[in-house]
Amino acid sequence: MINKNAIPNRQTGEEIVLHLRRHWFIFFKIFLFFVFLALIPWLIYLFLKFAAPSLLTNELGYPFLLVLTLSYYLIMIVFALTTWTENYLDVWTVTTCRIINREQNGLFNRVVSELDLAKIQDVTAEQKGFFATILHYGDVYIQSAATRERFSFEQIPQPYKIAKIIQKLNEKIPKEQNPA
Amino acid sequence: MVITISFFYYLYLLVLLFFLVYSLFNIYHLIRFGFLSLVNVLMIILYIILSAAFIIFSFQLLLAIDWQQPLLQIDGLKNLFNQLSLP
Repeated sequence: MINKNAIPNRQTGEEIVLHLRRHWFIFFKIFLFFVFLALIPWLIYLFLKFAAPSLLTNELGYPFLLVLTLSYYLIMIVFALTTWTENYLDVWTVTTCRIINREQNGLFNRVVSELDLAKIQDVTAEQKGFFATILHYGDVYIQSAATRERFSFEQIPQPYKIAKIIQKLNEKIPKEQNPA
Repeated sequence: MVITISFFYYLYLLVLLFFLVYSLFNIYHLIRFGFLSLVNVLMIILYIILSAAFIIFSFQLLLAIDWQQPLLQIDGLKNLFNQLSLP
């Protein structure tokens, strides 16, 4: 496991300012989705109990339905963990010199990129939707002069506050380093 | 030749194999790329405990079934085809 305070190729005097992850509500929404998926076999069971009770006691029907249900739950559990892994391993680190973007796009696709604070041209924060407005989470887009068009922190808590912190860090960088 | 309902049982074992391999990949990612934090460690431990409990529970249910019951009698089908092909 990675130490929270460890950053790749640390520069002299570089300090970690923020570690950002998705807002807890995003994980809660995923949890609710999988709870709903877990209830589906129970609903089908209740339906069959009234509509076709013989199927549940049938010598062939019962083993088939049991294997089907157990397989469904196994696949559901493993996909719940995959969804957790994909979201939990998305981490954005802001240091006094740069932004480190670690994104897990699927189980076999991990992207790690970084951006010098001096290259930042524009920082935009966005809160979209009912829950995002109430619970204060949203996206922060960072426009840079580099080849990669935009860096984005997705569904993070307090996007406006984070955008302000990044702008202030950018302003603190000495003029000779900062082309903006 | 008689195909028994153990076919379903072997099918479940295949799904279980997929589950174990995919779980291992996930846990590897969480250990390799995740932060050394209480949440990450707890999540991995909780997942292993829940998965083990589910697998034990599933085998308790599966072992109560007589898997030797016939599902399909291929000889019967063969006879049927023979009868159909008669002039």
